[in-house]
Amino acid sequence: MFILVENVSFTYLANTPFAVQALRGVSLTISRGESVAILGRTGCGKSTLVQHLNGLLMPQEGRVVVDGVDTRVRGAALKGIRQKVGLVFQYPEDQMFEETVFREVAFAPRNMGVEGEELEARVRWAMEAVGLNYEALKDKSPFELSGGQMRRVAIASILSMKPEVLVLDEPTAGLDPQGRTALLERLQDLRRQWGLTVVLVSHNVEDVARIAERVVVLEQGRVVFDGPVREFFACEHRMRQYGIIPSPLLQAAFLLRARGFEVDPPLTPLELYREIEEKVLARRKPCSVKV
Amino acid sequence: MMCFEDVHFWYGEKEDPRAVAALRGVSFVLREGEFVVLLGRNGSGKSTLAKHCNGLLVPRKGRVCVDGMDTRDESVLWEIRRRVGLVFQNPDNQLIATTVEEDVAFGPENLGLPPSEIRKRVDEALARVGMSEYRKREPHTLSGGQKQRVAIAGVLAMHPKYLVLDEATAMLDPEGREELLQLLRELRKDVGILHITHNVEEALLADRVMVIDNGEIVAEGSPREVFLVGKDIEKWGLELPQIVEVALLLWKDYPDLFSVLPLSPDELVDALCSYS
Amino acid sequence: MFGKSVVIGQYVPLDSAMHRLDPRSKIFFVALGIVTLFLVQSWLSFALLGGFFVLLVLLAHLPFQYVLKSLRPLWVLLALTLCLHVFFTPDDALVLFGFLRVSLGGLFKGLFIVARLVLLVVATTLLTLTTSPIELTDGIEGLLSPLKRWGFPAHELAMMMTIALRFIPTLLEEADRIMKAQMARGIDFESGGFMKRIRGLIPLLVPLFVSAFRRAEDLAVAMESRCYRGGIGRTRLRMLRFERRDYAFLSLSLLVFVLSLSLSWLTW
Repeated sequence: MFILVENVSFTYLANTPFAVQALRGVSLTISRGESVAILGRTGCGKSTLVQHLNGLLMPQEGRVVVDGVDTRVRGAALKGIRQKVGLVFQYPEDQMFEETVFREVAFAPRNMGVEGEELEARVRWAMEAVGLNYEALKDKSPFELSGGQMRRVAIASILSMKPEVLVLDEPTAGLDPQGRTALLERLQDLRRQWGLTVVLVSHNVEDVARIAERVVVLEQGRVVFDGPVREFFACEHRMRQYGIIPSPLLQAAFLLRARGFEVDPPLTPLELYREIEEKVLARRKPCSVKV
Repeated sequence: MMCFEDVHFWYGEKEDPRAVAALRGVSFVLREGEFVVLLGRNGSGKSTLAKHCNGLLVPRKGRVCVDGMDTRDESVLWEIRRRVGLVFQNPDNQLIATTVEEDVAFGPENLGLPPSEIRKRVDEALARVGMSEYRKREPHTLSGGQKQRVAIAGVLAMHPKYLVLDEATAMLDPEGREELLQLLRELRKDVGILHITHNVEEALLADRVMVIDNGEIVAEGSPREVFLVGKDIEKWGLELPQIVEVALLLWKDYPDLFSVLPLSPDELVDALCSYS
Repeated sequence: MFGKSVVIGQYVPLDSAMHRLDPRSKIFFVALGIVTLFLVQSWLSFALLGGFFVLLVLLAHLPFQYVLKSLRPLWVLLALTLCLHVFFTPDDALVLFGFLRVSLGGLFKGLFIVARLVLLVVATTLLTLTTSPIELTDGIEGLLSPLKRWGFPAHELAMMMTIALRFIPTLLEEADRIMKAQMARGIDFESGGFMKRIRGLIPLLVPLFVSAFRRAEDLAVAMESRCYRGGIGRTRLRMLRFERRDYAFLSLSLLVFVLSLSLSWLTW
């Protein structure tokens, strides 16, 4: 177990008339090498939760432990936590400020005290890990790049800290289909090749289906589901109850189940195709019309 | 009727054949009451096209006409802008006033309408988008989907004939997106809608789909016609809608499975059931 | 989330007689009040004005601690003013503490100025607590618009204020987000020497400026698309109108101000 979140509660502007309770006794654990998606409607507490994972917010009740260290530490130990848990915010390209892509990606490791050849090696690795050509892009201004490239530079600028966990808040927001597919493939590579633990925050069922194995669902600051992705995608009622809109693939599967075909929830179009071949067309049994 | 006739546009001084986001001979027509979706990847020129609809940009070659008025004619520019409402991508950057109703009033105020008429239009427009109860709220306290609905109300209050949405769903969460699409479905009978997006699922609702790539319209037709291209759609930087992808795979193995290409989960399941 | 609670100004949304007044009459009241406060020279006048202001606070249904809270940042200034007068008035000394002389005349003068400042703040607070920023903007535009004839940009000024009010919460929220994003990249905004801290602001300020410029550009395009072409030919949803209550309020204020001025001249 790498990250332990234990009974964490958090209220914004506590003790004022504007107090908003964002987390109410949240507990979960994240182990090395997992890929977890945190799902829930806007305002369910997802963003607040992930800011607890690297000590940007401190629990007002309960505790968060990263690799054996409570996040309520100061100084170097806190920097260590932020290095181990790399957090990529939503629209991370908004945080870029350097003159060149190299300096942008090198910013975080420099803050951690990395210099010289090690720094260059890290920048090169991080850029290549997200599919950017190091030589071609390192001296360009990050602001000249296309939207998809900027997003990847921003993710590389977190990867260059060599985190063990990569937390991404809506990483594909605003990208076009090509940019989105390319990024999701890179994220999967990061996990397979480099053993990175990936925590994806999203309300997009398709992204979750492509990346995550486990789903944690938040609703009004509480964990209401924690289990395998297919288990969550098997129940339409529960998905809608927590504000998650099923993808068209899942909707088709739900409709088929309602008509008596035991179709498993598909994660990709190919899976639904196979399920239909196997369980609907192969059997050719007449439709039992029950709605 | 809004029409583009062989519109060319390029940024900068000279025409550069490799430049992104330029337009190269775009022609199409948007009629009142029609719902058209324009699909294109980032940098395909779709936002440049949107800015041509109300004269924010004017063609270097060719022309854009709105109900017979040329966007290059400065004397009718404001009438064109009243008739063609634009809604943009970032909901935060298009709300001007500090309360919802003041913001919706912004357009009618610019038209110089009397206060009683403005009041009437603001109330109507807010009711239309289902935001009446939020009229005293400050924009920054609303969700993304609500902000976009306020932006649409702000345009509707000017009584436009055409509504152009430039990636208005791109920054919304799925719920906000559903709300907005539902609203567009309701509005389609009153105004001509040009919805610009890179989300192929949103194209399924359209009367007509156009695909733009590298500044040219490369495909046009009903959703069923356009998505029949299959995997070739990837050459334009797009994907197939999920249901269409499944249906095309099935169709290859069972050629008599569908009489027409199913687009929605319901259509797919109905076709499957009547087949087996 | 954080920015949602940003409160600009001190406006307390209530429905009271004071709240319902035309913003222009309240601005006018404050302007006249300030002039009067600087002209009057007697304690009796201060008492009269003070009483009048208390009456208005009651009319506005405002709790007194709200009004007193607005005085808090001024305590130091008030205390300093009093001390300077008490100790450094070259006057007949009442008591001598070494080189410090406590002067009776100075004490009175000091108290006088303190009273004047307090009343000044109370009058202004009455305006800001009962008038929303939008109304205030409308009021200022309304009062300044006669100056348009001489090229004074009254409308532009009001539009700038509106946009600033609209975007302050958005930008604060954004600053919070960017600051956290840079902290996640190992920057420490809280420690280090002065120069280090200043340098540490670059990763916050550059993205903020970039985004503010982008927002400004988007906003300009959006405004133009909605037929904005400056103040010419523009009407407003809420036209400001002087009602009977405004005339009543202004007449009463005028009466009190004139009365306190005459009291001051009579007793001086």
